[in-house]
Amino acid sequence: MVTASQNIYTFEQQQYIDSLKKGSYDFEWLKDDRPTWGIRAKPKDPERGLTLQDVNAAYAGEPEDSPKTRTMAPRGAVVDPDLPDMGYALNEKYLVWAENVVPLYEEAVARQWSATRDIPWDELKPLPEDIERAQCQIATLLSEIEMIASDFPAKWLWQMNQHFHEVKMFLCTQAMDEARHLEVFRKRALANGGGLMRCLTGTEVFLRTILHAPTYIQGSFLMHVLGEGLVLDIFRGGEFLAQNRVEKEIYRLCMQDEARHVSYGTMHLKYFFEHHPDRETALAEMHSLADLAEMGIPGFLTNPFIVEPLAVLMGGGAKHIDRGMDAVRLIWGRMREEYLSRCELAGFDRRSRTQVPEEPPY
Amino acid sequence: MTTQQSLESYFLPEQWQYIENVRKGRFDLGWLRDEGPTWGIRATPREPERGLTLLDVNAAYAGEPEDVAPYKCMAPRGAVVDPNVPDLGFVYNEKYLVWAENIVPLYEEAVSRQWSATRDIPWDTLKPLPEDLERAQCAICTLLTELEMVASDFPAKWVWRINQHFHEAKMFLYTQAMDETRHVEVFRKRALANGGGLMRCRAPTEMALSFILNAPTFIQGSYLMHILGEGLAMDIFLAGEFLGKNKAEKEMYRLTLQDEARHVSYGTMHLKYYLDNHPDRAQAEAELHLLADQGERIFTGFLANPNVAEPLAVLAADGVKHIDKGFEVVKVIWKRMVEGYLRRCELAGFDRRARIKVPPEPPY
Repeated sequence: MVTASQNIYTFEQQQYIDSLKKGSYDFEWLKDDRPTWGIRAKPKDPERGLTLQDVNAAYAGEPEDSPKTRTMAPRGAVVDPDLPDMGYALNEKYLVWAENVVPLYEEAVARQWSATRDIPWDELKPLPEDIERAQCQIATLLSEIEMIASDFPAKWLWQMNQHFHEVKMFLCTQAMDEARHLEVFRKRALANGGGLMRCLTGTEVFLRTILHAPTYIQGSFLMHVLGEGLVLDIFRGGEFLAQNRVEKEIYRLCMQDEARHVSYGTMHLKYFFEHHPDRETALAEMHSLADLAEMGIPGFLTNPFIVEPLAVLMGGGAKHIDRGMDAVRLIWGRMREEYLSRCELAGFDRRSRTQVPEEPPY
Repeated sequence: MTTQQSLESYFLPEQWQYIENVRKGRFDLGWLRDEGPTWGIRATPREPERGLTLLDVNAAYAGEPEDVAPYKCMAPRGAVVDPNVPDLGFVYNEKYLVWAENIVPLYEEAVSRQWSATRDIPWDTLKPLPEDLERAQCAICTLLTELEMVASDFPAKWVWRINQHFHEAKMFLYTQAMDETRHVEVFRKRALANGGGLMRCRAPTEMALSFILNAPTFIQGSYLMHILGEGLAMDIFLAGEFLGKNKAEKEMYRLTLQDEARHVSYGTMHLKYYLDNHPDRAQAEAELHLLADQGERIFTGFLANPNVAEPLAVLAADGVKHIDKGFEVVKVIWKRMVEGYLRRCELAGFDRRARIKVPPEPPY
């Protein structure tokens, strides 16, 4: 039988209960004159709804560079002086922020889609075995690598100060996007008479490097600017890789998501450099990382388990793999160029240092 | 990088070998001849109108995770894996530590019910409220903004350490992180949209959040967060019909309730799976009982706290003048919170009825 016990309550709680029994209320929250009152955020575009930009324009919209508190209190709330420290490790704006993070969050929420409902699965038709194998090999690879882009932000976002809630919220949308990518590529691999193919050591080594990067900025560069950038270039080729409307829609929707993640990473890198207390050292350290990490580009495109399925899909079959390799050569050039452009946009000049050959070596 | 020699030195020997072969028109095609993969899988939608679900795919191939994950890498369950893949450092490699029998349909439900705090709340139905009601709504919204994000941070803290073999558990936890981030958003928006503002955050609330975030294991944190904390938040959302003063607020509580119910459901069924499959159930139960003896103080932190109980009472009674009447509703919420929690524990096979110190009847 349940028994009431005094010791479940703290001293203050017991006092409050005793007051309530006498019909006496606290009302401190009602009389409190500290909170800033009279805020009325208005939608700039009523048809769209009330956005975070609208709310930020009304109150506490600009995070401080180094917030003093380490709590879950919303930015702009009144905070008791004796709040505990939640143990965040990332407490400075330049370590997490990007100027485009608020609109990117709003876009992410507006563009959520469902791999169950929004892909016209009934339009899948049996494909010749070489094409089906190629599609399944690529779908297996993407199913393998996409979830690292959920796990990596998860690893860091809970260590970010709640003062920068927009960054944490954006990273949650990214984690959700990537979970859906794993889902859609797994579904595709298992839906058309093919299956899940082989996972290779080289891919896993690269994924481990991202997941275990020692700092957030290093991992973000590896994942957002480099890794997801390369994947984005594959999705951009979706029109040629896809053999039907199902696959075209998969690549189109994933590309939309991936572009947001790459955009955050690029603008975060820019913000990081522009606000770093020692920009020169930060640049030098990042160059050292990039010198090694860029090996990922040729690693990607000299791997027969990636290059050849891409060429078979783009050539229209194993018989036309030579024709498909012409398209792969274009991807090589585009991957390198787009990556260098992203770095440039972030104020990180890799053009004069990169060792990645401008022309594909084959 | 102009000479052939410097070009060659840039690549690994096996990459260079491949490049030379391709230059001669010789392709590897190992992936095309590979006999390792299971071939001929054709998952079909059980309900074509709904689409192709994870349940359909799991029915077709590799749908049942093993009790102990065979690898510690990111390879999808059921793929062929090279023998020398590295260890990605996952620490949750056993099914009973993360699984719940309802996880796959919960994931599908979560994805199909995503909503937008910008678009799906009729913000134009907000109208100025008397100050006592606006203050009460803002106090509750400030509290919810504060505590909802721990339900994003907590799964984020653990999910990347869960073996990819249990991808459905990870994917569900990511939907939860996303749901909760939207809750932070919607309650912040409400606090700042109707002439009020963000109110005060108190030390005891933060202590409870710290207790959850810093729980030493996933099961302990999951019990504190999913079964206790989110269960209690759900009971507040359930009262949304009384707390909401207009269509915007009613919709906000209705949509967040839907999300919260999924998280509580996962937590309850995960606790059940954990206890049912633990190699030493008696020990596991004993440890959780010790935690629950402390964790159940979250109840009193909620409803023996003037900053929570009084705004709820003011909202429920439509004004501070009728706060006595509002406390009758708070008393009902107290009873429902205790009973709902005890039932969740029961469903999980974790009997707290005999041990709980929180009284079933409110003490005021």
